Amino acid sequence: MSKESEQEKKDKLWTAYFDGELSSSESLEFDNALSDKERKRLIAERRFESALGDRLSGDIKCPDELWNRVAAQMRRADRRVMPPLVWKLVATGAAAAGLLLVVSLVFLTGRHNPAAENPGFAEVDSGDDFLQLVAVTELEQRAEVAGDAAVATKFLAARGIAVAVQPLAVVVPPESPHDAVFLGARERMVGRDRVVDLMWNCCGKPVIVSIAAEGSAAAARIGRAFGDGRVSGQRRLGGHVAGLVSEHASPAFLGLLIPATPNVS
Amino acid sequence: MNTTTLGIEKLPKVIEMDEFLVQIEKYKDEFYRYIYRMAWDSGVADDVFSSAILAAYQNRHKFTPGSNFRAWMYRIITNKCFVANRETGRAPDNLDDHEFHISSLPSQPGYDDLIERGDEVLQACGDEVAMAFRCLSTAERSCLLLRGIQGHSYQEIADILEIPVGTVMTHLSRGRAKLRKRLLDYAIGEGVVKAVPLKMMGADGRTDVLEFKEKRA
Repeated sequence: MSKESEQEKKDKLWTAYFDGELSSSESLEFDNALSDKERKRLIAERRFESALGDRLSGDIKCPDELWNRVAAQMRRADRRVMPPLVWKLVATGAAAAGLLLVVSLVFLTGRHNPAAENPGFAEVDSGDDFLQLVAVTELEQRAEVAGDAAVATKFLAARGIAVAVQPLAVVVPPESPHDAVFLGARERMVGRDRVVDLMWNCCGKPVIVSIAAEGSAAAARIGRAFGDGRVSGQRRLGGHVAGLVSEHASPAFLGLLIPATPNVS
Repeated sequence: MNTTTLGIEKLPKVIEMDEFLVQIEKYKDEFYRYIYRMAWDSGVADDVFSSAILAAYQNRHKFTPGSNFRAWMYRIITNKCFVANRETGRAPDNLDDHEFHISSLPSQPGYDDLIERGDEVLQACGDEVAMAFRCLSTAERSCLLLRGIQGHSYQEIADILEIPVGTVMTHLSRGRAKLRKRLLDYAIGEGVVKAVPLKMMGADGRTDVLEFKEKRA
C-alpha cells in the first residue's frame, strides 16, 4: 500500500470519527488512541465547523417573489402536463358529451338550466365561469333551508358536519358598502360524495361555499381547483374541506364558518 | 403522516399539486440556501431553484412512495447545480493542485489558533469565508453542505450524489482540509492568527510545545 493511500485512509477514518459515522466499537478504539491534546483539538474543530456552518447558512432565504413565481409556473405547468394525444381525446370526448347533454336537456326540459349543463361539481370545476351562468335567484330556488345562520348550522349538523355558520354581521358590519344576503343551504351528491352548499348573494353576485368530507373525491376536486385558481378560497374545518366559489376573492365568507361541536342538533 | 428523526415527511402514493407545494414550501429556504452556496455564480441561484422545482414537479411520478422526499429533492437540485456550474465554465481554484490532508492539518503553523478562536477568526475573515468555500469543487461543496448544514448521513449523501460512501468521505475530508487551509492562510496574512513556528511542534503537528520539550529531554 502506498504512503498516499495510507494517508487517505487516515483522513477518511478521521472524517468518519469527526462526523460520528464510525461504529461504536471503531469509535471507541479511535477515541482511546487520541491524546488529551488531540481530544481537546477535536472539540475545538467541531466548534469551528459549527461556526463555519452558521456563517455559510447566514440568513439566506428564498425570496418571496421567487417562490410566488415558481408556484405560479408550477400551476401553469400542471395544466400542460397532459400528453397531447390524451388531451385531444379527452377534449373531443368532453365536447361530444357536453353537446349531447345540452341537446338532450334542451329537448327534454325546454328551458335554460346552468346547473344541468354543468353536471357534477360544476361550481368547483369551472369556478368563475360557472358564476357567469347562474343567477342569484336560481341559487335561492335551490336552497333547501332558508338563509338563517342557526338553521344552516343545524342543517350541517344533521349531516354530520360539525361547522357553525355565523351571521353575516360578524364579518360584514352594517355600515359596509357591501350588500350581502345569506340565501340558504342545500345538500347534493357529487359522484359518491355528499356535498353541502351554502349560498350568498353578495352585491348581486352569487357566492357559494361547497363543503365536502376531507379525503373524499369531492374534497380533492376542491383542492385541485384551489391550486389552479378556479376556487378563490379553501379552508379545512374539522374533518371537512370548504371551497369558496366567488367572482372576487372574498375570504370573509369562509371566515363565517367555524368548527363546532359534533353534537349540535 | 410519518416523520423520521430528521423531520422528513413521507408523502402519500400520489403527489397532488397542493401536497407538492406544501412540501416544497416547507423546505424552500433550505433548498435555496443550498443552491446559493453550491452555485459558483450566485446570480444564477434563482434560475437553478425554479428549474429544479419545476423539474421535480414534472417528474413527481418518479418519486418512490414511502421514500425520503427531501433527499429526492436534493438529488434533483444537486444535478441542476452541477449542470449550472458546468455551464458557468469556471475551473475551481488552484487549491486542487495541492494536497492537503485533514489529519495532518494540525502541523500547519497557526492552525490551533485558527481552530480555538474559530468564531472570532471567521468573523474577521468576513466575505473570505464564502469566497474560500466557492473555491472548492462542486462535489466537495455539495458533501460539506449536505453534511455540515443539512445534517444528512454519509449514506444519504451517497444516495443523493449517486456515489459510494467512501467517495463522500474523501470529498468531505479534502473539502474541509482545503477550506481550513485557505482560511488559515488568509487569517495569517491578515494578522488575525498567530503562526506558531513549526520547530516548536512535534513532527506530526499533534504534540504541544510542553510535550515536545518533555520528549526532547
